[in-house]
Amino acid sequence: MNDTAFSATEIVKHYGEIEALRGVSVSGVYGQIMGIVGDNGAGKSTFCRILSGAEGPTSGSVEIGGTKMTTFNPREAASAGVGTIYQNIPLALHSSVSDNIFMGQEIVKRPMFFGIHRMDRRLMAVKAKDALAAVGVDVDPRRQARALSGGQRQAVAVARMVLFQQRVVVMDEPTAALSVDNRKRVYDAVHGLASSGACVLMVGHNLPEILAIAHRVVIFRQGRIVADVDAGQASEHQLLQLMSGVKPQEMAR
Amino acid sequence: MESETASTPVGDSTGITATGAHHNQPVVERLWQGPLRHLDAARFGTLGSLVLVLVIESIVFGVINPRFATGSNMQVIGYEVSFNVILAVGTTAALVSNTLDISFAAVAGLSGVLTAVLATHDGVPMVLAIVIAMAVCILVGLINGIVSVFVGVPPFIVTLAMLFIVYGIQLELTNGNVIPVSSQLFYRVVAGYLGPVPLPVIYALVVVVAGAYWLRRTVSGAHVFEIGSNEEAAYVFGVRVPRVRLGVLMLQGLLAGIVGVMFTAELSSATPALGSTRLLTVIAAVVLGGTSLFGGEGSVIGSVVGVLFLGTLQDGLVLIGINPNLEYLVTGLFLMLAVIAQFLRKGKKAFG
Ligand SMILES: Nc1ncnc2c1ncn2[C@@H]1O[C@H](COP(=O)(O)OP(=O)(O)OP(=O)(O)O)[C@@H](O)[C@H]1O
Ligand SMILES: [Mg+2]
Repeated sequence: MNDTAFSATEIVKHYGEIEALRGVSVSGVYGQIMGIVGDNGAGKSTFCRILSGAEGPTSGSVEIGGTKMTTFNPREAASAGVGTIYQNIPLALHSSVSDNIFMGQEIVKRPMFFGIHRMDRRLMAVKAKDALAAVGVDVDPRRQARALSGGQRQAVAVARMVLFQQRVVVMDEPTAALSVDNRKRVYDAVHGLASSGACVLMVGHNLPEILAIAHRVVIFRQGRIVADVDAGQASEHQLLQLMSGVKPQEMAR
Repeated sequence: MESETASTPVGDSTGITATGAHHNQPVVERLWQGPLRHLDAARFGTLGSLVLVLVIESIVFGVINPRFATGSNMQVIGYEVSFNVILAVGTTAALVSNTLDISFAAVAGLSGVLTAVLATHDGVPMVLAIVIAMAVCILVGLINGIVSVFVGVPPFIVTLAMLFIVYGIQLELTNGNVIPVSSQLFYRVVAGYLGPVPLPVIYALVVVVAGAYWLRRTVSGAHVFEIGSNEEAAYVFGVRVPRVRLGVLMLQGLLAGIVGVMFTAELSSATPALGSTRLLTVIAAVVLGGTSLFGGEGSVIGSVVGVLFLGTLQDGLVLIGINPNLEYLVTGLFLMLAVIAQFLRKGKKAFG
């Protein structure tokens, strides 16, 4: 049986003097939602960027769906099945919703010359509409993305994952700037993704919500994974202790 | 936050289009729901008012001096604007992708000088001279691209340096002299007339149609917008950002090269700094035409209207006997209005 969605082995990442990651090894399973928590600067975003191919590690290796990553660029990661959603860089706001959903993987009508392809915007809009419906958002795909609410924008990003059947979905604080309603919308979409078989990694600072949605929670501290717990067994208090590294008796004082 | 205002359907734009549709014929309604549905009405407003000003401007000039409306004056304007239109297409693509290239006018000059210098060498056919000049201009764009994309120097700075380099090369090549080009065929094919229509106008039209089609309908055109709007998102979504950025700057080089050859043909000679005054006019026209200084928004058609507006202004002021120096003042005032409008639109988002 092989249901390992991704595995990262001994990932080290230095930025000059700064050791953002100091040997992170972890793997994920299809259909599972993995929460990632940790203090500011613990290395969560760095780990996400490496997994999604936005950056390469200083050392260590990453396998996605059994394929070893070699060049660490987003196209390589995407073709191995990784999709990424960031809170702070969601969409190209001046372009249409369907252009955003298909960005980088457009449907083309016919190739022309010098690699210039005409887009099939009509077909893209139809498919985008379906994908949006699948994540429970009813917006016109031809609208400009900037006309959407923050939650709808995240949902558009999730629709991308659904459409391209991305099997490993990396979400770095997808709900950080959202209202309660919009957060719920994103969580519903995440549930949908996981139950359709995707492995979802979700970074978040809202511990109760992470505990509620994730199956499993991984705790980062100072560039290392210090614990890997079953979300059903853990409490918010425990997570806080693990994140800060402070022992229970010191916390109590 | 932005999300609050943004959740109402397409902001002010649909408001305008919807009311328009109510009071007008079904044809208008169909246009709005059909081919025009992609128009952001705010941008349409900018463009629409510019067209209106252009029309009023033309009527005023025509009434004051009937010579304005003659065919021969139209030829003069057509000739004049076609160069800027071609340059504006490249500048539009660059600004949409959030790149400000300020070397293109100098590159056009280099192309003209190179063509002239090469063609006056014995044994170099004109076609070969042109091809070499084009290749050099594309190379200049490539270098601009490599330094800005891979080294990370802002394009404005890179192309500022390139402007000096390119101008220096022109001075060196010409020693500051005028280089005559005597080929009649060259003049007739590049800068002559087809019936009453100046050929440069036809070339400009071809560039406009191709440029608009590319930006609006093709994958790489969409990528230009997406990179200008959110480069990081485009990158993580798998857009080949460096390739597109290099492509835009090389296209700018190529178009500048074409214009340079046209200059030389028109004048049957080349001088250093040929066309260098067009730099600011073209950028002003593109911004007037609604292309955003922040990237992600803009249109070739808007830029064409911007160029027509400034070209007509320049021509008309002379014809109605107003000191042509006023052209700068008027251009500046309109530009000021246009960028204030752009900033206000941004501001409304930020504080609304
Ligand atoms: N591009 C970069 N250049 C230099 N240092 C960086 C860079 N990116 C991250 N770092 C550093 O690496 C460390 C880990 O940062 P990272 O963004 O991964 O933390 P994080 O766990 O996501 O924090 P937060 O909860 O605040 O988002 C920090 O010390 C940060 O300053
Ligand atoms: Mg982070």
